[in-house]
Amino acid sequence: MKQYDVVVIGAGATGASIAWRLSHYDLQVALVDRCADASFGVSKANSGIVHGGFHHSADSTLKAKLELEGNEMFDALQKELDFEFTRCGILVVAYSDEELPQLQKLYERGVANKVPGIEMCDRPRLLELEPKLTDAAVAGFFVPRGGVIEPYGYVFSLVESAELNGVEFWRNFQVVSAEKEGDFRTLTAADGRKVQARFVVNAAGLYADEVSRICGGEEFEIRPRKGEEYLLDRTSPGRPSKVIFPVPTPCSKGMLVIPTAGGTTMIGPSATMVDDKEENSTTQPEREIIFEHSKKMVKGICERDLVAAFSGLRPVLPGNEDFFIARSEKASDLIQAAGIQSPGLTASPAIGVYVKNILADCGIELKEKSAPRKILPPKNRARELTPEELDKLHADEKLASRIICRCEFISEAEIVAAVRRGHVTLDGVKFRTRAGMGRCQGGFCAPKIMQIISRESGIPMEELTKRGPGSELLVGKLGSLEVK
Amino acid sequence: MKKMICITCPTGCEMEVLCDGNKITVAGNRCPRGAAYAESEIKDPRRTVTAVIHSANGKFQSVRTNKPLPRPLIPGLLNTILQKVYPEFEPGAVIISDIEGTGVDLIATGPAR
Amino acid sequence: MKQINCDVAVIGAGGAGLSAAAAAAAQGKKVAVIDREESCGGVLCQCIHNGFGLRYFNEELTGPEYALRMERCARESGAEILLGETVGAVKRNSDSTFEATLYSVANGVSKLNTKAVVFATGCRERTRANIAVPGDRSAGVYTAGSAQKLMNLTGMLPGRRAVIVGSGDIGLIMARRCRWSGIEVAAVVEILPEPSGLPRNIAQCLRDFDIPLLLSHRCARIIGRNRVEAVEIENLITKERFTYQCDTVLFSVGLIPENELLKSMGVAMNPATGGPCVDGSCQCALPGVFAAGNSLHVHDLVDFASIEARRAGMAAAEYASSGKLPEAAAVVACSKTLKYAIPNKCVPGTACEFFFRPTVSCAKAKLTALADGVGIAQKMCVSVRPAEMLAMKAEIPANAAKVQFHLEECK
Repeated sequence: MKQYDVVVIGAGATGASIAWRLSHYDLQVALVDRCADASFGVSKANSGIVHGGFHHSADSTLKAKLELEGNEMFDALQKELDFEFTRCGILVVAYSDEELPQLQKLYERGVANKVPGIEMCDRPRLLELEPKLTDAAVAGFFVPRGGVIEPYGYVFSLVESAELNGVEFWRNFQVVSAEKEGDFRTLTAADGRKVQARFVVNAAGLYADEVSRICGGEEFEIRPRKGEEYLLDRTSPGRPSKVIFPVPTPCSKGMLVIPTAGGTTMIGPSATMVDDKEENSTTQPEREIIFEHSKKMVKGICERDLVAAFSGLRPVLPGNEDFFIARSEKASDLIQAAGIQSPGLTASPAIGVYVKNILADCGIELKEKSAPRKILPPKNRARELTPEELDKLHADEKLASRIICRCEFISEAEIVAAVRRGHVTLDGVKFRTRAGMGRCQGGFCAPKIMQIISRESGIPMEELTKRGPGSELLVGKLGSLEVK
Repeated sequence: MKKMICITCPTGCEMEVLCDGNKITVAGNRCPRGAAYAESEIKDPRRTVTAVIHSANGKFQSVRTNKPLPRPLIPGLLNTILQKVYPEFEPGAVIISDIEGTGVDLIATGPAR
Repeated sequence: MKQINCDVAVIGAGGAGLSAAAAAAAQGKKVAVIDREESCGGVLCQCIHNGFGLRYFNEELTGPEYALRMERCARESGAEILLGETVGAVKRNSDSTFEATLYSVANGVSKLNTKAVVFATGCRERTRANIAVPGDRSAGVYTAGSAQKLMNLTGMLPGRRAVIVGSGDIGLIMARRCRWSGIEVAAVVEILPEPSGLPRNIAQCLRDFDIPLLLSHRCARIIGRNRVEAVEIENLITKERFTYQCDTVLFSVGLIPENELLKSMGVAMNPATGGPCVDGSCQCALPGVFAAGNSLHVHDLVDFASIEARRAGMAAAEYASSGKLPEAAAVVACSKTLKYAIPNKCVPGTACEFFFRPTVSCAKAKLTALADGVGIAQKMCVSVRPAEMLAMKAEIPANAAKVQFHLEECK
């Protein structure tokens, strides 16, 4: 049985960031996730905002402190990990005079939190910053250090870099029991695989309550709060240049209009408490509300440009508005990282450091690796390369100039690289490369991508899945069903 | 009286077919092919069958019958051909001749791919 | 980087592109047809059913057969066909020629220079998201065309029991294709009160198999956490909702002309068709740029697309020779009973063929053409439906400034 110094449960933004941080040290580290790929839980449907640090007080909450720290860490991370990230800036806009006091309060919190460059704007200044705002915009403030990130791309990069630097990633590993024996805890997966850990980090998102219970940690409950998001075509005239926030409500930062890092426009999310942790459906009433709201915020948004609809769940820790990141008081080998909802993605780089420090306090010896860090190979995204660069690349990598996904302009080489890195589901390839994410939603390329995954991974076509066991895409070969 | 849509061409004439013993009267057809179709549809309904068969080397080849085949024979033909792996045929080549003595052939319509 | 030069470049080797190429090459021009796939035919390759070619070849053919014939025509006329090449961009050079950037495994990135370019890029299918069907994001949701591709080109079965949303021809053809592959079809669901596909496809694809056609119904929700388990259907008249158990949902809910390349060149588009604005020779507002087939407007039959493309190919060849075409000075307009008339402009003093998409359904209607208020042509049309294109030829008088079309129901 494989023994590790640390096993991180949950390969979302939080767990991936922790595992990546730990990959800098001479430690045996494993990252396990119940899903078929990293980021497939909470992170996949994240809005992808690098928040500005004005929603929560930095004096009284851990989340605001980590959000501010995390925000500043993204430039260096992007340089090393090459994910989609832009500091496009955030505008918080009041659309009526009644919202002005709340806007002022929020602005003052930002000032108190020492948000760099925060600027109160009257209507003319707002329009100068974002001409697409509707006539209803009254006033607002600008946070230049806010931005957008491709959430899954970020998580995948962290995991791949961590793997390259010694972390072992166990997919489809749903922890069902965690028996402590001596210095080690044995984590058993639903399919019987086992790993042993000296320390366990609970970054299990929606299932952090279950993991804590299994490990004998604190009793708490994670409740899902659903958010629906609607993605518009990259040619939508409603794409703003900055993230547009309304003045928030008590339970949510509100519905946003987001110029995504991938070049599309996203509107949402809604916020509805649900009971079921696998409830990921979209609904007609929410869609209508989201479109109605976003049309009031930004000009040019139209249902006709709708390319995809999806929803995600935020892991809410009722009664605790803050993150719960601490060494468990009940199980001394367990580090809790629970209730990481917004701004968890922004905070995640800082959470990695924070948890690393907790582990140091637990007595783990952190010795930086002496060998130079291994760097991920270049992504060679066809859509970002000039024709000359791509032609040059073609000399060594023939598939670099075969375009498989026409909507997003993704090459076969990009898809092959994703499959070889272990992304063997259709969604895995889609989120890793963007192939199938465009306006035809895979109508043209999905059959081709399935063939490439099958060829590269050796998985027969009929066993390929959309996102893991149970989501098989095909039922068999022609001739396997009787014609009646 | 039986209502029927002619499937011979994209126009899709809506026809009224009257059977009186062996005498069949057709109305609503815009060309003689409609009357012929209606008569066949009453006496011996047939359809052109199209399918894809397994070819060597994991390829697939599209096929059709060169003439309409009696409808009752269609599932049997499909269940037979879908279970086999065939060599590659040139487009137009006969794969099965005279299916069940009907005089209808199965031919390749495209290259194996 | 490899350089290619030609007089006429045709983008897309489907039923329209090959026809345009054959016509242009027959004029003695150096023609290159470019297609991203490894074989000619475009979507025809996966359309293994019969029903093609009656108008163009006077013979009923399957899609692959039609493609082979068209390919032969293009090759025999001398057109060169470049397969496996994706066109990434087309730009207009300062000397009014065009440069296309091509991507392939065989040649890496190439530059193609041409005097004229014909866009025959086809169309894409509207998706579940385009019609905003809520519910779970389950596996087993396909557009009818991608299911067709999976079955007919990769030999795989997408499911065991399907519900088909939309009664367009692709949906109907797929209903029969499913049944002939052993897949049950629970129902075909159509939001409109009448079917969208050809009557003969209702007969041979649904009635032959006793597949229920639910008119005035919509797919209100997809249910299934991992794989599709059921769909919720709403009767739009009674508002009653019920579910159908199935593991597959196929969407056949309309086609959208694929014109991303054309749009990036700044060519004027026609919101009624989703294609560019063109004159009678299929030339866009940018001289030397032509469009034909489903990327110009969605056709019912490939034959019409090929006929239209022949015109585009000939005009492109003429443009490549002379550098200009006669001015299309007459503007085309139509009554509200017509969604659009193609072309949008025509040359006075010439004969021109027009295509229309009606907005109304009726048993009989009169189609009239007026030039500056004076009748120039008329035609009786039977079984008029939005799903079926209308066509009419008219002689445009010299000095005509406006050609107006009217479609009126006859009682």
